[in-house]
Amino acid sequence: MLLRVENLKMRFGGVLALNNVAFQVQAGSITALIGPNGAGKTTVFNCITGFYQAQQGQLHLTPPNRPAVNLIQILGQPFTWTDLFQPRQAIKKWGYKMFGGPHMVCRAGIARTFQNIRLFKEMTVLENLLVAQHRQLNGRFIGGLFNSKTFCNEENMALNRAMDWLDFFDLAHEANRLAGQLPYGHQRRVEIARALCTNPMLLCLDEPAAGLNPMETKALSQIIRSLQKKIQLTILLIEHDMGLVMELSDHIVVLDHGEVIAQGTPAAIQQNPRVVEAYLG
Amino acid sequence: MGAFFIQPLITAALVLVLTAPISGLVLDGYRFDLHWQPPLWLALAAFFIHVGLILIRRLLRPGQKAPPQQNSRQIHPTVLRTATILLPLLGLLLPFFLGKYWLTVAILALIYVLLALGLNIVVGLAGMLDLGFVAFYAVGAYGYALGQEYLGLGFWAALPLGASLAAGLGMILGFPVLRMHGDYLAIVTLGFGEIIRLILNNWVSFTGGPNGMRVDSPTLLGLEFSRRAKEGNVPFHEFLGIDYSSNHRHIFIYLILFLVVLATLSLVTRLKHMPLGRSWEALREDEIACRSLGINHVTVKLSAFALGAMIGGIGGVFFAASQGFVNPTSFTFFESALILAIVVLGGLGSIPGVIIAAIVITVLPELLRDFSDYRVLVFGLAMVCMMIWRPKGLVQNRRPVFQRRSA
Repeated sequence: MLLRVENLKMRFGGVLALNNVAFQVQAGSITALIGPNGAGKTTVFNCITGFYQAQQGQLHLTPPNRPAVNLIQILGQPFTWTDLFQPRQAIKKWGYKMFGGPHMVCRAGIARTFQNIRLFKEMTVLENLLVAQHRQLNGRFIGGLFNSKTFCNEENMALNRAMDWLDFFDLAHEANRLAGQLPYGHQRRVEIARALCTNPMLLCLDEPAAGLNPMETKALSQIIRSLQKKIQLTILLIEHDMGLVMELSDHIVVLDHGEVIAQGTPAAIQQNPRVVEAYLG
Repeated sequence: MGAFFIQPLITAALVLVLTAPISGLVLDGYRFDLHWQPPLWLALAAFFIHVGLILIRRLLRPGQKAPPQQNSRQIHPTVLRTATILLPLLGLLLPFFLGKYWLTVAILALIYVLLALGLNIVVGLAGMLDLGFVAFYAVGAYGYALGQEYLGLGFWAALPLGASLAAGLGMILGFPVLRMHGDYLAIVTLGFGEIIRLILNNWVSFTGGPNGMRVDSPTLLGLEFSRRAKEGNVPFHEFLGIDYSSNHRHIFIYLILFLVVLATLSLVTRLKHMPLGRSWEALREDEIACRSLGINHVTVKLSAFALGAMIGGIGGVFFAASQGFVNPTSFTFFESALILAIVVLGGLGSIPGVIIAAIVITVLPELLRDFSDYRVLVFGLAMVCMMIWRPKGLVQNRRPVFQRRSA
């Protein structure tokens, strides 16, 4: 098990966007999150990746060979009166409040893409991928200023890693073009490549096939499969293309009106009467 | 052929309508006379100018121009290398051939290069519209003046002091505006700039208020550049045994300033190719994507503010040193707007463009002294033309091209 979501509750004003959402993502699996429009899929994503702070519930990332991370805690929680008696915990809380946020979630090992593509449009494709490796490179400020040998080496390594990913996505010939000038399908792939450059354990894809033609969707599904096979990446995806979802996923979670109405294997979900009524039709 | 004349005819008609009331109606006491000839001549001239322009355009561009390729124009490496060696040498030799007047102009131009490089980090790279940049300039200048008045600091101590004061202030300004973007950020920074100026203006007992403060000129290893040194000191010209010239002081300031500009230039160029510089640019493009990639937007934004402010503060120290006097009128909003104009005209994020624009904008008004009445007019016209023909600035920010390299 890699990610454990428990009793997630999220309210926007009077709208209860998420109500006791609970599911688990097994390590090395492909889990799909489906449901009608406005069901709260993207809200779940934003809670997991730290862009929203859930009002209730627990989010735990439990990597097999690393200590577990409490994803709610690293976003910075409000102070309570009990902190007065636990100064050490209070200081920790303050630290997360000052320096926590979605970037900490990424550093913990969760990368994401966006429903509406968010590339750095005025930068080249390769620069996009280099920005994503910021963490691995940023340790050497002074070395960078004087262009030291170690800095050069690391920079070259980052460059080659980026090129490897571009090769994997068949985009190497576009490396030095501005990201905003690429065709839509390529931009989607660049965004996934960029997320992979952060070295994630869990990759969250928000509608990766939106706006792709059937051919591109097929290529995408192959890419996702090979990511799972090749680097044992765990993938969580939101998707409306049922063909893709049923073909790819090991586990499906169905959301409707902010509640999980069913979860299970693709075959079981297809037969589930509540899912058919609410979504599949 | 019809299309050939329609547009010029429209132009002529427009000119007629616009100029007829101005040049055609001449007041004579309480009545006015109609003069038809001047507006007609103007309209005719406009017509022929437009026809001429169309002809020139046709001659120059017989076919469709190929769309410009991104990253296709790379400067040849040998040209670049020669330029990076020759231009600094030229800059170092320049002050020895200039008269006093042009020397001060050159110093001012270099100060503006420094300021523009600083603001370029904040506006051009990190994409945060800062309308109060002059505040950091003022902090640098007053850091020197006040440090000398109350702490007895010289130029060399004031340089790091002014820089760190400005950088600290940049951070302090950065914190509350972290969540702001675009227009809101611009208004807050504008307010900040005015606050600093008003404090300097009104705290008369501390800063001298509108009367300003006197500042000593820098010394070279304790040697002063005045005709007669203070007690116990030796003036520079006596030490070397040469005749006194008031130019020495300016040449000295110019040379230090030039070295500082070179250092800043290499710093900013390096930063652009480092993770920090790339994250600044990424932050300009999309803040949410940045955060999803593990970039802490707080530290990245604050570092941009602090570094930009620091460079501005250094510029301020040099301004105070070269003028020998500071007062709040040097740090009005107009100054901020001018620096911003330099950065925008040069090309947001483009270092060579910003340098060229800074030099042009400080030297051009001096060249146009004879038309000083029309200076702002020419300035405005240049801006309009720029926005039409080069909307992305004089030198467009060029993206680096990467290839696989052996590690």
